[in-house]
Amino acid sequence: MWIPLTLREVRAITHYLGVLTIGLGFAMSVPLVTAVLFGEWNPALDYLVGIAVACALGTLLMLADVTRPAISHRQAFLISPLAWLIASAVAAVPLALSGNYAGYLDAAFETVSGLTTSGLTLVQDLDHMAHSHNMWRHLTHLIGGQGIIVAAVSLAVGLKGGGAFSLYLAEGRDERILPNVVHSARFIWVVTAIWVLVGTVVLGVANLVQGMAFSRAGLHAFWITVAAYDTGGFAPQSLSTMYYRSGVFELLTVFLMLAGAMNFNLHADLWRGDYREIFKNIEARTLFGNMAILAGFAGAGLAATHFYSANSELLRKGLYHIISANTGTGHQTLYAGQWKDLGSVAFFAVILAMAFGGMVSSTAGGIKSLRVGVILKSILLEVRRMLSPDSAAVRTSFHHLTDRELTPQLVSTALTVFVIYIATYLAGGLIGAAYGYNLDAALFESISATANVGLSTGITSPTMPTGLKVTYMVLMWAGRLEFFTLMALGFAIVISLRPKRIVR
Amino acid sequence: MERRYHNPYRHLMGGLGIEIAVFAAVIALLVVVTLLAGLWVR
Repeated sequence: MWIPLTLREVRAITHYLGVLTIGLGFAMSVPLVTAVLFGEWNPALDYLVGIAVACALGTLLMLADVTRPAISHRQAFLISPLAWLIASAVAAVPLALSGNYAGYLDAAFETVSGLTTSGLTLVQDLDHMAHSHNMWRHLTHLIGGQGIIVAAVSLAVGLKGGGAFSLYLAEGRDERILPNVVHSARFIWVVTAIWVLVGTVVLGVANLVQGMAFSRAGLHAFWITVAAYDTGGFAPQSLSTMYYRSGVFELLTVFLMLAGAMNFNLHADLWRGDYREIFKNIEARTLFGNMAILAGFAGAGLAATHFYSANSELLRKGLYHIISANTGTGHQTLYAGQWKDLGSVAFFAVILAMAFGGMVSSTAGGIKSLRVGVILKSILLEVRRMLSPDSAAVRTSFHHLTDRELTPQLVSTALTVFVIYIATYLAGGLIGAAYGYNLDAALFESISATANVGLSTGITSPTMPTGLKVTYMVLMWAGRLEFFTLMALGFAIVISLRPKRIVR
Repeated sequence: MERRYHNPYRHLMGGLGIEIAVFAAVIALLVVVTLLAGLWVR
């Protein structure tokens, strides 16, 4: 039965959206402090305006229900997509005032891309952007990568009732890491803090060795670490990681990308001392196996070209982009116009890597290796059934955190998400082609947006049509939340507006 | 088999070390595969 939303539920949802909006306002104090430290007074004003907007809007929304109501399961699934929308809209305010964007829509595109850890950008004159604005761009990766809701749950901000776990699930996490969901959310932040600390120190030293000034080396190291670990893809320079012109720097970012694409449950198991889990886990096996196959195709494809056939190029232009794409990061060591020089084999290997994506419950996007692994297992099971005697009961199991039997329900869910992703990739590609872009480039960009990767063939630019900007924003939003919460929101709105016709 | 929920901070440094070692092994494997594939085509 389709049940329309009651006014009380709408008020409860609005209340918690207000709480999250005020939380985002607090997060803007980080770029504000950065602006003050570096004497960037105009950007400081932008963040004061941003904080004022966030606090005013948040307070208004909170007033919708002053009783701090408990959250039900279905309310949680509506708060999540709306929280991402409002967060993107509010986070865009200081960027829109920065002068680095053609208008508010471009700034909103940037924050949708940042929060969903996509990394596609519409920024102008990035190489001369204020430190505080760069800090905010990269912080959106950090906030969105771990999850806006996870951030709130970890602080237990105003949450009442048993809705915290539902909110946690609604943001694309598959299961809790610890029995207590608040502790699970905090664990995600601890893993992140440790990896960001390690990455910042190591990349900072690499930058100092290259001759960068101390403060610049530190800031760049922090930003690239956050973008790589959160599989985001923003960079403080328009050349992305190619700016650093260092194979060692690129190698270090690869470690961060792999760490970011790993399921937080796997991090937890390794930290518990269960070292065998990573070798048994179907997700890890599928992800690394998938990367190896695609790296082989990329290497073979590049070796056949005239541009990048040297061994160092196979690794820095081929393998680097396979890992960047498969983990959903989007750092690139090519100019946007150079993708065609890779040749069609390596180019499509990168497309497939983007489409498959990293692990579930990580910061990566895409179909996810767990689903790909489950589908591959079910194909093998069918073949085994065909070759077995009629009387045999053929079953199979797989290991993902525990030993599990491959049930038709699991296969059906994996296939459903797989089909939705493929349909969305194709639809986005066709829309891009309808705007006059080449179909292969449009497909590349569509998959990059939907799988929250951020590699770009150059279609994503301030001059692209407004309709395509909005399309990619929707794709990034839908891909990050894995479609179902978005569908729930759409159906809830339709049902609530026209209850008599639709309720059965 | 039931999932265990031990303290995840118990082997923090060891776990981090194992993660880095696993990633290094994966990267080494990918480098070998990429170069061998390139060699094969040439």
